[in-house]
Amino acid sequence: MRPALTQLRGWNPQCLNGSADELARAAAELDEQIALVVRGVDGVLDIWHGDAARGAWDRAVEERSAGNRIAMALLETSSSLRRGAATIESAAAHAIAVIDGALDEGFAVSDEGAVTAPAAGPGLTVAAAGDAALAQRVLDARARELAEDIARALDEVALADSRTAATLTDCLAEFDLVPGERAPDPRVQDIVDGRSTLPAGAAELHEFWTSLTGEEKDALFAHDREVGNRDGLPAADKDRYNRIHLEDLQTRAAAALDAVNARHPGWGAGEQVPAQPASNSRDEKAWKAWAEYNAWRGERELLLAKIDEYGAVHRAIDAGSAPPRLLMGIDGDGRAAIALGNPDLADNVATLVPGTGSHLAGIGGDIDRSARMLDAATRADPLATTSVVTWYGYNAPQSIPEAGLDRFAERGAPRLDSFQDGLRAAHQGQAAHQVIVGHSYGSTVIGTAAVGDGSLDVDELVFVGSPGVNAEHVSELHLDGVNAGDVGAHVYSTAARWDPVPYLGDATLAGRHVHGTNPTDPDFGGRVFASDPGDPGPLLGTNPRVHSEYWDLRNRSLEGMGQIIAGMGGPS
Amino acid sequence: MDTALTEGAASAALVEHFGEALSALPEGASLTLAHPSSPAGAFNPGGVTPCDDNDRDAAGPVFLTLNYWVSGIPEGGAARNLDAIAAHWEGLDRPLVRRSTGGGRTAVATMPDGSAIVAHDNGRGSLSVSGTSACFPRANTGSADQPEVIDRP
Repeated sequence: MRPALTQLRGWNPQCLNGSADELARAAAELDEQIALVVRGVDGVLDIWHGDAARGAWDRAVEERSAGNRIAMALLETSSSLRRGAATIESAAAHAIAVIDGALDEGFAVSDEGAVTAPAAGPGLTVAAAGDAALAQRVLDARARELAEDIARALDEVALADSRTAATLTDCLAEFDLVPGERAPDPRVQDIVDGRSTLPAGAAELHEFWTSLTGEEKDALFAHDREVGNRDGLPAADKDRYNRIHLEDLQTRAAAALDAVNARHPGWGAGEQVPAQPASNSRDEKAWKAWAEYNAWRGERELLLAKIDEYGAVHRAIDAGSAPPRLLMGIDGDGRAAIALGNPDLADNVATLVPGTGSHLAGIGGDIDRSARMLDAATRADPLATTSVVTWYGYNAPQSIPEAGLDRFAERGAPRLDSFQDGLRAAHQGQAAHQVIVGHSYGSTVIGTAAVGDGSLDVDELVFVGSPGVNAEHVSELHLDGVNAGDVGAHVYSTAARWDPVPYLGDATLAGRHVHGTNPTDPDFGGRVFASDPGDPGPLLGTNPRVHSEYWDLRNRSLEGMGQIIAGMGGPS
Repeated sequence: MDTALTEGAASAALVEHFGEALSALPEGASLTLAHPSSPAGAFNPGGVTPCDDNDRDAAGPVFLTLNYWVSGIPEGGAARNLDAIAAHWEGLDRPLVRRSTGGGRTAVATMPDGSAIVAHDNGRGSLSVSGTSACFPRANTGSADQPEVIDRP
């Protein structure tokens, strides 16, 4: 039912967010209480044996299972409230803008949304060649248009409202199911009880996971909130559990920030902040206060940064209606992955690995680049479906000096390898054409995962604006199922003439390249595709801006990436 | 960067340029988000991309990209129609770059407002027309209304 205007103006969807916060906190508290009960019973079992002890333990496990289910339902409800708040707020804001627009034009709008035209003034009558009736007809027609716009906008609000209500009803029904819960699969029970763990390999995990019921999956999530990050889970399940996990991370970070602020309510507002003592001061009290303030500030800034990062991920997964966005990974350490389109169902699956300076708060920019690659692949082959994952699954170097180090790549490489295995294992139907595109230091991460004992389960590698891939020759890279002598046909690189980063990669330290030979060098042995040169700059002709231009529609590099992702072979 | 440009205005300008390209094609031609014969090939709505590779500046400038398929032209006509669009742009003195890569052919025209329109024959029978705007502030994004179909003027 359409809301009345007075109702609409009185709505405050933000209240739903407040309720969502409370539910998420309740879920966290419930988690802690359940753990307390189980730990308590577990603790006395060392000194308490026999049937009664076993009965107590079984009861504790039952209570934990029921508690986990309730916690899960609380988190689902919290998540629905937040989504509902955003949808209703957006629809209501649009409706109010349309109504205010009509009022600004001088039309009257009734509480039900009916629009009445004002009497035609002399100006309009003159414009209508003195025909007052015609002038009035023009105004009446405009009133009808505005009434239709308002009706549509109010319908959107009503739809958002009813959808939120329906989702909440579904969530609440979950609570009714708790008492009648069946005993879970013994394998799941063993994992939840800490006697076993999930299968380690992506393929094994996929096989195990897809044999479980929804309740069993929920139990594993309640046991381990990071289960959605496990490689091998179907993308839809990753998305479901990671979205709830993200809400949970946001709530915990906000609560932690509240606690930090509460310790020194004035400091956050810049009041009574301890001053830094003079360097020769011997005032121990002042130095202690200064140290305490700095520790407090550091803790607060860390939490603010986390809240910023989680907010960026939240905005990124909620942005746009097509293609669907799936949260393939999220943790509390600055890592995440977001897919455009479902990789389990796509013919072509690409993963974008970003480079130096990338951090979670900026993931939106790289998702935009992934969207351009998806467009380019579609242009190259409209008969195939493509999904592109923006993979922030490693902590990238944040400066040029850091980018000279291998440790960031070495830490990220096993994660990237496992992620590709997971994509492969979870894919439905015929194997996808799987590609990894690395920009800048992202290419170094990819190379590091494919050298030595490493091998990536992908069909092609693409290095864009690379400083080197920790290999001197393409034959040092390994791809699953590709003969060593054929790898060169599966490795593509491009570098714009005035991009400084490949030149930095050409620099040598103690006679060797920092990250190996520039992969666009003919001596490297891979395939090179063209990029536009960009505009020369002041640094020996190089221009840092050119390093960002590979995803510009005008740039032939984007066309090349599209062809490679679509499996059309390399551009010649 | 064009600080006065908004996503809505950028979208409207690109659509106007697309109409200009369409006028070079035979009657019945149109631009569609849906591919003329492959449901899998439908383009997603357009979107913005950062102009600079800088995750630290979430408010940095962006550009808008829109993509369409050319529909309503006879099969096998992609190459001929790409040439017709390019010739039309040449006739209007638009700076033009032509290139061939991997079996596909592309013509890129730069428009007086700083946007670029790209006509691409993918070498497999499909002709697309895409556009990219000049850079504008990220704060000016939102409220672009992209049509699903653009008819020949």
